Amino acid sequence: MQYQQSAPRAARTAASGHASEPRADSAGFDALFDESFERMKRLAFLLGADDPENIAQEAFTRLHGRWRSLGGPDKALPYLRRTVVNLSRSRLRHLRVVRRAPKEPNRDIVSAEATVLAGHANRAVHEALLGLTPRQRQVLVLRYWLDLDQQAIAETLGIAVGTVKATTSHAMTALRAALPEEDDR
Amino acid sequence: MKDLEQRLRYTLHELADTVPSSENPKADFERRLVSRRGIRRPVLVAAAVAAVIAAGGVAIPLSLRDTPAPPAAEEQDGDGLVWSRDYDWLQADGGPYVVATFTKDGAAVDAVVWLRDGDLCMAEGHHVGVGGSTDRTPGAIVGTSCVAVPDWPTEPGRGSYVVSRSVLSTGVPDSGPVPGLMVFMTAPAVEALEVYRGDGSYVQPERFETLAGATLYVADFKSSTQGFGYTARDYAGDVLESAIT
Repeated sequence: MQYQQSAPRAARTAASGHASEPRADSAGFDALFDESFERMKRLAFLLGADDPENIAQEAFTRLHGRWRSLGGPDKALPYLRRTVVNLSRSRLRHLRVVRRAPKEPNRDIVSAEATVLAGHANRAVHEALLGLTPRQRQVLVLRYWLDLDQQAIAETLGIAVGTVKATTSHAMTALRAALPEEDDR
Repeated sequence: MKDLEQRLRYTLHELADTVPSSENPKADFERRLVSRRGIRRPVLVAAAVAAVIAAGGVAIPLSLRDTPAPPAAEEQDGDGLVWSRDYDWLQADGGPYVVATFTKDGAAVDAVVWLRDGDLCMAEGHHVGVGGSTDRTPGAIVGTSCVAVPDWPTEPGRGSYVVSRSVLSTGVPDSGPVPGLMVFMTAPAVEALEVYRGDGSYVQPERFETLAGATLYVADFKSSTQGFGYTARDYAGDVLESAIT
């Protein structure tokens, strides 16, 4: 393992000045905000966050601070997705007593979402989703709501494509087990 | 299977459509930016980092003390994980995070952690020109030390899934301004990290960032880090790696 002092790099960076002004070129950033804010908010919601608006705002705030260092506008949306996933997960962590097997969904979230869905035909599917692990739910939401391919899901979650495949498979198995009648249709 | 996939897709879209559109999200965003640019701001992320390096490198603890405990209410409401804009000029890939604040020569000093160019770095963050005040004017980074994010193993037994460091330590266990505070970095395959003191008692690690290449945790031992251990589990709950230092 490498361990090094890197003060020279820090000094160089410091000399470049503080980022006290907005970095984003406003046209590109604004367009992305307008196009993607609601989508990112809904992504946070589907991942179980109880404050999706705040998470979407925070994700764009972080993006704003890194706009110039992202390496291209094509990196912005993946960065947003990653940030929303991570923040949603962090938020859930605060809301839930997590130890080894975080299989039990947050009661408040379940309650709120169940209320919203009451009377909807796919309530059973949704409840089955809530019973999945956070990672399984993330994979399914990214695949079946955002329509990301496996490579994009892997990049978003920071895991291998093989892990995406395995997680998807486990998640679908769990859903089938929770909804046996659905699979028989 | 196809039917289940279609039902799943339909349910997710239906559920997403229940979320009402925001009235003026851009205005809220602008207000948030302005508030972040404020000179005085609270430490939003708690805990701390120090630096004791366990020889051999299975686990490297980071520790910081003198550190006011992070206000739980701040941590649990609002922004959740928040990186520090005080040091945003570092242009990090992850962070920078103020994981602790301590007093040095009468002045408030931050313990700052960030990821950049494949390195996990930490340093003292000094606020320029404010003497012994608690003004949080962005300032200089001092005493940066970095460790490379390793090539993570592709399967258990082929390398370590976990790297640990003490925050701002002098290289001796439980030294530095925040002894007892450690940062852990885990491979993407790790879903859960359990940390234990030398006496076997559990330490709750706080996950504060998950990036494409690594996940960062901070753990405040509130006592000695010597003999600490950890267990890393994958998403299925299986043990990927377990170690006692």
